[in-house]
Amino acid sequence: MSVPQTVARPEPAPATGARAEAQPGVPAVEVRDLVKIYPRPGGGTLRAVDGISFEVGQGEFFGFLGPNGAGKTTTLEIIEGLRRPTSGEVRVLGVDPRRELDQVKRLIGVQLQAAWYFSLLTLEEMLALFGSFYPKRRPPAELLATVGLTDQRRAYVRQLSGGQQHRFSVAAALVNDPEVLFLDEPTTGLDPQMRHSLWDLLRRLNRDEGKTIVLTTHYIEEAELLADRVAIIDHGRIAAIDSPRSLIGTLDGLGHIEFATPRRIDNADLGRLPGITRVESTGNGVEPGSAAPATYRLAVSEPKAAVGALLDWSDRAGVELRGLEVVPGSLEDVFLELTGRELRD
Amino acid sequence: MTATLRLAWASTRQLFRSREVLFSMVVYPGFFLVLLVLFSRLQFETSQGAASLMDLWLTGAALLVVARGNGHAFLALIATYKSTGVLKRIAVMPVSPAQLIVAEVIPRALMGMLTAGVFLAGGRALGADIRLGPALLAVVGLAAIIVVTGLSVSFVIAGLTKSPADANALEGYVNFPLYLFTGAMWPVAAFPDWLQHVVGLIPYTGIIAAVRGVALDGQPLPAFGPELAIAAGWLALLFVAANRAYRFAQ
Repeated sequence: MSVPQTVARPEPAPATGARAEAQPGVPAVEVRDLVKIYPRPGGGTLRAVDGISFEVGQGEFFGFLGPNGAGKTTTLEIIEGLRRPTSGEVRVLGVDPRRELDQVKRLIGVQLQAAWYFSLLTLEEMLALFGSFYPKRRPPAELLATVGLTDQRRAYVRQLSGGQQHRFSVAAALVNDPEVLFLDEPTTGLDPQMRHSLWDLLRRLNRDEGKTIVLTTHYIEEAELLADRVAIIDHGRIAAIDSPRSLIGTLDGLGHIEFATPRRIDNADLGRLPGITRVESTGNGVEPGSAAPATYRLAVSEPKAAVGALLDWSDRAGVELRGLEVVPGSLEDVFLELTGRELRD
Repeated sequence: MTATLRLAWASTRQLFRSREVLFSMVVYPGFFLVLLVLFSRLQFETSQGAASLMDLWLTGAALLVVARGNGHAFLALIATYKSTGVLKRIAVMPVSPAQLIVAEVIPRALMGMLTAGVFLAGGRALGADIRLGPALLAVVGLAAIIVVTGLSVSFVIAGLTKSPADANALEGYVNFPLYLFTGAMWPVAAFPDWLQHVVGLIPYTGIIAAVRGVALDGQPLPAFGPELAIAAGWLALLFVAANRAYRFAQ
């Protein structure tokens, strides 16, 4: 299968001194041949980031999709100036974090994957403190209103719920009204309602305020719903970059068929049908033919042929298929196709 | 500088909202004053004469503890900053680790000086042979060196360890010589001659000698130039080490 790969980009513009605002036409983020190698305890090395290159345009919502340990956070932290790369080049709005780190820090907002805060400062005190470090800043009251925490302005962070803490993290990342916002797995650990609430906030920041957002996630849905473009990353390498729709479009008809049966079917019978590449089912270990309900998820390369073959087979075998549904391919299928493993592996 | 002062103000706010102030300014000084009164008749005999435990500890071990405040709580706090990502959060903003360190030190140095002054005056009221007036001011200044040295040691420990538990364990090993061999608990004159030369190089030894010389014997502070030079050298070294060790950088 062919997928859009990272293409060669023009040479990044050299850093030209302090700039307070984004330069029109300059990419928000440029990364070229980035490598980060860590020594392993006990000897050897780990290539956490293995020669990746990409660009993010100004105003773009860019997602990094990959499992834990894929190199997403390390890449982000190198761009933010928190870690030094082993080799490669990074520019944020044309500025090199290795040479002008403070300038980069003034241009970006960072929401860390796990960051605690001063435990005995209220939310508004903390935002006022953080904002005081920057020449350009947003008032705490406005930030708290943006993330829906006005009523909690005099609370300590530890008194907030998990979702409220995540929203406060986003507010803290916005104190300097940044040009580029980096979010590292912002919704991990949140329940679906809180996750949707945070997604709404991020969409508003991108669409209404024009913020460039670079987000890492291992949630397929998050990347599909939010990102203009997604980089699929695994083992420190980018396997593909494109819009979610285009990436899914490269699947050439890949998708799933899902259904339930009142009695157990032998997975091997289904696997022999044309167009079906993989069979997953509940009720494994139950003898085929037993009156035990089960659900099936069939990965298919040719949905139309597979559905026809499945319906013919069910007629012949006298198997009732309940809730038959053809599910189009998703980024998870793209990830599986590109890396040979599932995101949750 | 402005960012440092704002951080220092934030640190002060947190300090006064915590129990640290209660322990540092009331519980520890009160505990030691009661303890010293109870053992006020105890004396150390050395080749250079007798010294009462009350005078010795009031200007030694107790002063170290009182001036440093709730040192364990502080170490736990800054080790927690490192392990939970507060330090990382600071690192993504245009603020340096040195600014954070100075900001945490300022309010505690002021609190240590105030507490040490009140503590020594309280000791005098309870019978210790402590000089007040200009001598007390000099001792309060020395207390600031004790505080900053102690906090710098804490920052180095927090920087070198991965968790508050590790930091606490390492602090135990580091504090052992600082309290036992610096004359804080018993007179340095009681040590063998060779050991007296060695312990003179430990950060607190010279400061404690200067405190006793000024507060108990009425000597002028400049008479302790070599001791203070060693203490200042340690202070500079420890601050540089703290700045290098206590940061988020990989």
